[in-house]
Parts: sequence; C-alpha cells; structure tokens
Amino acid sequence: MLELTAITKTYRNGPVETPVLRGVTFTVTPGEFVAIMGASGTGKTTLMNILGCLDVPTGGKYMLDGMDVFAHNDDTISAIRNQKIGFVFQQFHLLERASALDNVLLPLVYADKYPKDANRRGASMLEAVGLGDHIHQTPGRLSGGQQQRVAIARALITDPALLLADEPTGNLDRASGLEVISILQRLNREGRTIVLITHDQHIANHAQRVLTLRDGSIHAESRVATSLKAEEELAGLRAGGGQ
Amino acid sequence: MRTWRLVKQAAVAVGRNKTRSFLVMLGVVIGIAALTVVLATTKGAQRRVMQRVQNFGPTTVMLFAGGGKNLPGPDPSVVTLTLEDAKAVETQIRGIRMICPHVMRPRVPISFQDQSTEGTVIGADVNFQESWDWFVEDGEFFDEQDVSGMSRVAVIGQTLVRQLFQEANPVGETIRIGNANYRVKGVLVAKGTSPAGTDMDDRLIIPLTTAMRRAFNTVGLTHVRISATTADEVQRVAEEVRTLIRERHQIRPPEVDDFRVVTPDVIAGLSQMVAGTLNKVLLAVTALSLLVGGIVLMNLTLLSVTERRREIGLRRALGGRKRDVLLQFLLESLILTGSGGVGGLLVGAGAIQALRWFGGKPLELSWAPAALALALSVAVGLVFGLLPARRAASMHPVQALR
Repeated sequence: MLELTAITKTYRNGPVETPVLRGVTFTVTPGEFVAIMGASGTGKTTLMNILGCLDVPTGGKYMLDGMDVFAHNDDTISAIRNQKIGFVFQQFHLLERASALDNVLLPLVYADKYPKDANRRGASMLEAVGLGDHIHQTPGRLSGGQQQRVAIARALITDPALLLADEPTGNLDRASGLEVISILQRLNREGRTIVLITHDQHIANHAQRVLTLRDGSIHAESRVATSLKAEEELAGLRAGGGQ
Repeated sequence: MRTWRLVKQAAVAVGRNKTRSFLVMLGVVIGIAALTVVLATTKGAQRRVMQRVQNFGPTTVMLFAGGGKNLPGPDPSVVTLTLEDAKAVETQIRGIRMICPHVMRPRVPISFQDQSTEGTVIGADVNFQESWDWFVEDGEFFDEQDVSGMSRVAVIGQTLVRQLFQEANPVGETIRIGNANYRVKGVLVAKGTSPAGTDMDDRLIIPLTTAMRRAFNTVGLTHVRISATTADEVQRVAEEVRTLIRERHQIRPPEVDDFRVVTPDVIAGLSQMVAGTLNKVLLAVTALSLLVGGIVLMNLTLLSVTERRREIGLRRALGGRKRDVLLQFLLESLILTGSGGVGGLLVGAGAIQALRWFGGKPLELSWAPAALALALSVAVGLVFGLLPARRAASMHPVQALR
C-alpha cells in the first residue's frame, strides 16, 4: 500500500544544512492502522508532509498504491493527493463560509470525474459521521468535534487509498477526540488504511502498530498488543459523568 | 468540466466578499460608463458627419460667390461670379459630369390668394434635378423652352406647399413671387435640413434666365454646383476650379479670393470639430478609472491572497493544481471586472438616454462599442489579476497551510 525507502529531507538555509529526516524506511500494508509517534522537532511534520505528497523529499523513494509518487511532476502529484489521500488536519481546515456539504464536496472540484450523485454521496458521508442533521450548517456553527467530523467526511469523498490524519485530536477536548478516533477505528474495521500522526502515546495506542520517530529516523516500531477501543472509553467517560 | 467547477468556486468566492467586489467593480463601472458615452457620441457624430457629406454629395464641388472664412451662404451682393466662369469651368476642366449654376435670393415674399409667406428663390438650369439628385414628386420640372423663353414658372418645396396651399394641389396654380406671377409646374420631394442647418423645403426653383434677367436683374451667380465624375476626382477638380477662377478674376495670392470652393471634406471637417472636447475629457476619465480600478483590483486581490493563504493551501492539498488555483483567482478578477463592465454599460446606456432627453448631441449605442467595452474590462481583469493569481498559485502548500 505504502512504502517509504530511505526518505531523507534536508532544509538548506544559505550555507547551513539542517537534516530533518535521515533515512526513513517503513511499510504500511492495506487495511492497516498505523500511528507515527514523535515529540516535536523529530521530523514528524516533515514526514507527514511527505506522506501527504505536500512536500518533496531530498532523497529516497515513496511508493503509494503502486505509484512512485516523486517520479512525477507537480500536476500528477496534485492528482495523486486528490485521488489517493484523504487528509484530516489538526486545524480542520474547513472553508468558513461554505456549508458542511460544500466543504465535503470540495475535493471533487479537482477530481477528473465529478460523480453525478455527488450531493447524495456527500450527504451520506456526513450521515456516516453523525452529521446528517447539519448538512447545510457552516463550520462556525459547529463544535470542534463536529468540524473535525466534517473534515473526515471530506477526506472520504474521493474514496482514497490512504487516510492521513495529522494530530486529529490536537484541538479537541477528550470526548470529541475519542469520538473522532472511534470513527477512524470504525473506518479501519471497514477496511480503510489509516496513518495517524500524533505526539500522544495514549492516542497512538488506538492503532495496531506504532512507529516512533526520533532525530529524523524510525527509532522504534511496536505492535500494539491490544488496541484501545475509543468507543468503550467514550462509553466509560459518559458513564463517569462526562469528564 | 473542471474549469466550470472552478468558475463556480470563483463566483462563490466573489459573492462571499462583497466589500472587495464592490470596490473593484466601482472603478470599472465608472470607466466603462464613461467609455460607453464617448463611443456613443463619437458614433453619433460620425453618423451626422456622414449624413451631411451624403446630403452635400460625395462627388460635389460647390463654387460660391464671395470669400470669407465660414461656410458661405450665397451672397447676393457679390456679382463677380458669372455664367462665363461657370462655362469656363465646364469646358476647361476634366472629370466633370455636369455643372448647375444658380442665382439665389433668400426671404423673398411669396403669396397665393390670401396666404403669404417667405421663401428662398433659386434660379437654376434644367439639370437641377440630376445635379442635386432632388426630383419633383408632383407635376413636372421646367424644361429647355422655359429656360430659353424666360418663362415665369416655378417648382416649389414642401414647406411652401404646406404654408400656401394646405391640402390643395398647387400644380397649375399661379403664385406671386416678389412682384410677379408665376405658374407652379411641380412640387419637389421633401429634402429636410441642409448641411448648414436651414430648411431646404422652403425653396422655389425658377429658370436661371428668368431669375437673372427678369426677377433679379443681375449678372452674378451666387453658386455653382459642380459634379465630379467620381469621388476620387473631387480634390483635383476643386483645386483646378480654384486656379481657373483666380486666373479669370485676376487674383494673385496673397490677395483674397472673391469666391469659395467647398468640398465634402470641408463639410466633414466642420462637423467633426463639435465632438472633440467632451470626448477627450471622458476618455481621460475612462483611462483613469480603469487604471485605478485595475490597481484597486490588484491590491485587494493581493490582500485577499494573503488572507486566504490557508484556503489556497487546502485547495492544493485536496488536489488542486497550481494552474487550478491560478485560474480560480484569475476568474474571480474576471468576474469582477466583467460584471463591472456590464454595470458600466448599463450606467452608460442610462446616461446616454438621459443626454438624449436633455436634447444634447445625437448619440448612438451599438453592439460594437459594447463589445469593446466588455473586452476592455475583461482585459483589465486579466492584466491586473494575473500577478495576484500567480502569487496564489506559486504558494507552497505546506507553507500555505501552516
């Protein structure tokens, strides 16, 4: 599904070279839920940008769904982002003045084929994340958790090979965060490949496998023996009085 | 298809930012409105010039008695232009189809029974009809015999018919011109207003001989209408007429001519001066407003690109190519200036209507200037929208999203 080989990234500022990624190699198989952990300054964001095809590495190779991503030009890489990657950002990144539905449909603006039943599909995506009643609401009238769920619906509209979530709970309270994670877990159960980037060990433990990034390379890799179940935690949280 | 989706995105973005849209459109509206008025007046003036030239006759050279600066009306006090001069022109200059000499007297009392008025009496040759392309619609024109016999017969214009006869048929009736009776032989087709702005239908045409020997007792012609064979010959014929008459009248420049030669060019030139000043002002307004509108557009769009940095990053992340972002911002500019252009056309059309109402110049709104105005406003959008659009497109998605 996803295969990184010796990915390096070095930022140059005049004569000063700052290596951020020093050879990152790992594989994600289809249907996997992988968390990439790392404190700030470990190259986590840079790796996320490369995984999302938003930034070009200095060296190495990135195969995504059978395509050698960085062998292509910028237009094709844009198309790869459009078709193969669904983004969920920490800051949601929704268009403030557009309705939830229009936000969900935004990736289709750049799709090669605009599905005839786009509106219906968008609506059912929103229903699937529990926002069936908020289709025409603008983001400003939604809570943070609801906004992030709109973003998840948007990420799924093009049916991408990879769902890439960058600190998706970073701006959310615990309950909303767990809700978002529970949606990701459900999508994973339905077969969706997910890469979750986080600095939070607890959040990472909801994945099946955790890669720990340190000083620009994969420092540790561990399988999560028994993944936490966000849904259960959520139920417990609610039973415990909503704290 | 993707382009159409981008048009929609652009339209929605324009609708969301009403203040920016209003400010940008304002300059374009003013500019295009001014331009619309300019083009309409120009077009109207052009048409009027063409009409005057057409009325004057594109192959016509007029030879008037008397010098002077302005378009001379016939001056009865000058008697130096003679029938011999006219004959000399006809026989000595090439490229002349025909000439028609005239003696003209304005404001002559005319009466029929108890109705009386004033009219312009013109003594002319039998070829008057062909020469002026102006024919009788009732009765007939006088003939060679009338001329050789110095008959007291007249062909009269429509204004006189209305004033003297009302509904009755004037042909065959006897009217009084000055102190003598004339028989009405025919009625001329209505001609309207002359290039000099006078009513041409208050005229009576009588035989030249009758006019010179019996009515006015003069040897001086007031004007000679010379028809060149083609329009291309007009300037040469005019020049040769000038030289010939100077010779015959023994005038050596810098002595002042006692005659005047008028060609269609002179008529066109006189008419064109009118349009000038207002148009220069309005054209300056157009250029300035479009320039200001363009600069406002560019600055507000640059500001908007900065403000919408994250939106740009998001669009790139969701699969928008550089050129998609470029196109969207360019389309936003084009929508703004394009609708500003349409608005300007409407305002301009309104202004033209208002000017018509206040009885100003002849104005004409037509599709060609409208197309030009729209093209111009689209061009403003393209030129001044390109820089901000390129800046938006060249943003790095990672930096834009940060």
